[in-house]
Amino acid sequence: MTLTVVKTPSEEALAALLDGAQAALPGKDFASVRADAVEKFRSEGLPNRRVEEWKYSDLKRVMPKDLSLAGEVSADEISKQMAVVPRLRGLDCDRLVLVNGVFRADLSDLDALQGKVSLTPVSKALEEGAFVLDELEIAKGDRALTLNTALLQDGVIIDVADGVELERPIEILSLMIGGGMATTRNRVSVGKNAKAFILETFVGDEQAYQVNEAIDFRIADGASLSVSRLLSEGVNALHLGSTTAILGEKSHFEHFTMSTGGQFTRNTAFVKFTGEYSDAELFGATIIGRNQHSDQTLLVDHAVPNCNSKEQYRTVMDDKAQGVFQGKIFVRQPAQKTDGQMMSQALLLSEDAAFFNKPELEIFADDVQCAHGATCGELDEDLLFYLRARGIPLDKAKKMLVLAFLAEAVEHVSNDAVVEALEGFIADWLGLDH
Amino acid sequence: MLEIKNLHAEVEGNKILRGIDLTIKAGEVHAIMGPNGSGKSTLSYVLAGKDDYEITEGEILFFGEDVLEMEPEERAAVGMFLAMQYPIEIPGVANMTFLKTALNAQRQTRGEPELKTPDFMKRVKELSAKLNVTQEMLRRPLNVGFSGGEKKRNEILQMALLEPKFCVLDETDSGLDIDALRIVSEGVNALRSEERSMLIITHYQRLLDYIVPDVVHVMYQGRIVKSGDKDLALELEEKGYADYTGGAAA
Repeated sequence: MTLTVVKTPSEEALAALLDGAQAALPGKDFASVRADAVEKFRSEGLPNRRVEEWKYSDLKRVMPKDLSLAGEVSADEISKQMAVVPRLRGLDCDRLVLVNGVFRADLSDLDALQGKVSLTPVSKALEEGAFVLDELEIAKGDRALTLNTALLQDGVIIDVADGVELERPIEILSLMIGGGMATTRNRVSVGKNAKAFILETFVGDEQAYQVNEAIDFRIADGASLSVSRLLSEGVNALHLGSTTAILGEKSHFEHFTMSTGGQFTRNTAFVKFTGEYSDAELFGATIIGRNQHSDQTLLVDHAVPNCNSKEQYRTVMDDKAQGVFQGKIFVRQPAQKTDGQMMSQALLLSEDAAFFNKPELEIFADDVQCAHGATCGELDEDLLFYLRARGIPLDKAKKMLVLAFLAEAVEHVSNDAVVEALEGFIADWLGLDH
Repeated sequence: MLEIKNLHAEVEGNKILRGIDLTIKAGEVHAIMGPNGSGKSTLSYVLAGKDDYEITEGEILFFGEDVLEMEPEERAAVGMFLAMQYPIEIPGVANMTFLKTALNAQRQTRGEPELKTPDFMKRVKELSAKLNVTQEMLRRPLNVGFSGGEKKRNEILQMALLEPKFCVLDETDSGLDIDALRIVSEGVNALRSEERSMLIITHYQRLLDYIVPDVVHVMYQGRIVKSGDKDLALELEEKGYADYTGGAAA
């Protein structure tokens, strides 16, 4: 007997949506995996403040009760939205496009990627029975991932072969138009000694919509992967993002998240070291206002010795915005000589903004260097005075300092063109000329 | 140009300035000397508009306009400049970006057209060469990792670029070695003109060998207790402030 906890209108609506959608979702072989996930959702309901991992981000409270799957959109509507949504522009990259949760080969730069990487739509892999969930132990049971599995529509699988060094970034752009729910999962495998730069962009219109997206990075021995994620969702969007990364030996993983949009955003990153002498750098810059809610949750699993992880997140909040940082570095007993440094810094521009900062270390090895720090403050009056004393008006001086605060996180991105585009993006967001 | 009348200011109830009267005419260079805690730096911050100070009495007029009613950025735009004793480090703001933003913000406030980037670069290059401010220093975040001398040279660069009508130099000589003092002083002297006035706050007479003042004032306990010509500075160097502090060692 299954105990059913689904009870709020939004949970009932979601359960009905899950049931109704099953038949049309791709992949017969995947049906039983989905059915298990649906069952799990029915027994758990939506995560809420009583669930420790979701304490500050109550999904039950924010999930709408009118739910439907996002529909198809015309090419006209797509190009219209692409022209107006705030995103990084002028970057030299190869683009893969997903619209309302469906991979669009017709809008993607497939010719440019031909011969450089192997590319498979997730829907095709599902139909062919070739898509296997490869869940990390630390991500198992994650509520957002459960929902992702239950409704998985599409995505892209990118394989970078051993030894291949990609010169141009690959952008995976996800666009939402006309409201509704979309569920995707992408996968990027970087072969031995290969090198790649992935840009993830999430944009959409002003309709109420819900995105549940996951991405799995598999970084082989000696490989190097840089990822920059830009969450610039529409003002009424609900975004659940889950990133998993598995690092092989002597590999390098750089992961940057820029979050500005959406009404409610939850980003979770699960990172696991499986080979020695690897390092992961996880950075983030968040800027929110109105009554936006943005949550960055991290779980870094040091399972083997001699690896370094560095986490540095900066959050700026105005109006009645709420920010959350939850970071946990987990050092298992064999993971001697681990170096883990985690820092979360928040800047509050308004008395009504709030930030919940929860860094955690769980260490079972005895020869490690781990530290975490968390700060929360306002703009420095002395810095403001200096700028004003040189003739810069107060409002502009504040914006310059906000940009400067976030730029310190952005500047860790290893691609100069992307750094410049991100700083330009923040300046635009602030209404600052650059 | 500048008139300070019976100025009283306090911080958290502590009276710091207790009736300053000072008039500076166009083209004049005045120096203020005085023992620690006499209120010299407070006067400079009050002139620039830092809001940690409560003005309880008096007024400051700049070309007849009430300065105390102006925000710090408005004071800068009408031509007042404070070279800070401790120039602050601002990570994430490139020095060059800051200079350009400041100059164009002032021009915009005054209703003047923005200076185009090539013209701006040309001016900065000319001025920075004279002040030994390197390209590297212009690219770096504002004052971050600058030595004491580099910070002060960067202050004078800002002053030269912004072309204020009235400059306050708050202990610009502190932390400078002889060579840096010479470069900074030459930079300041190059800006002396019939239309520009300066107020130099210093502990040491040495600076006044390089930047020769028209008038020297002695400040003590928030008041100007004596004024004279440049020889007054020499006299202070020799005798100290004992005559003004009632014999207590300064």
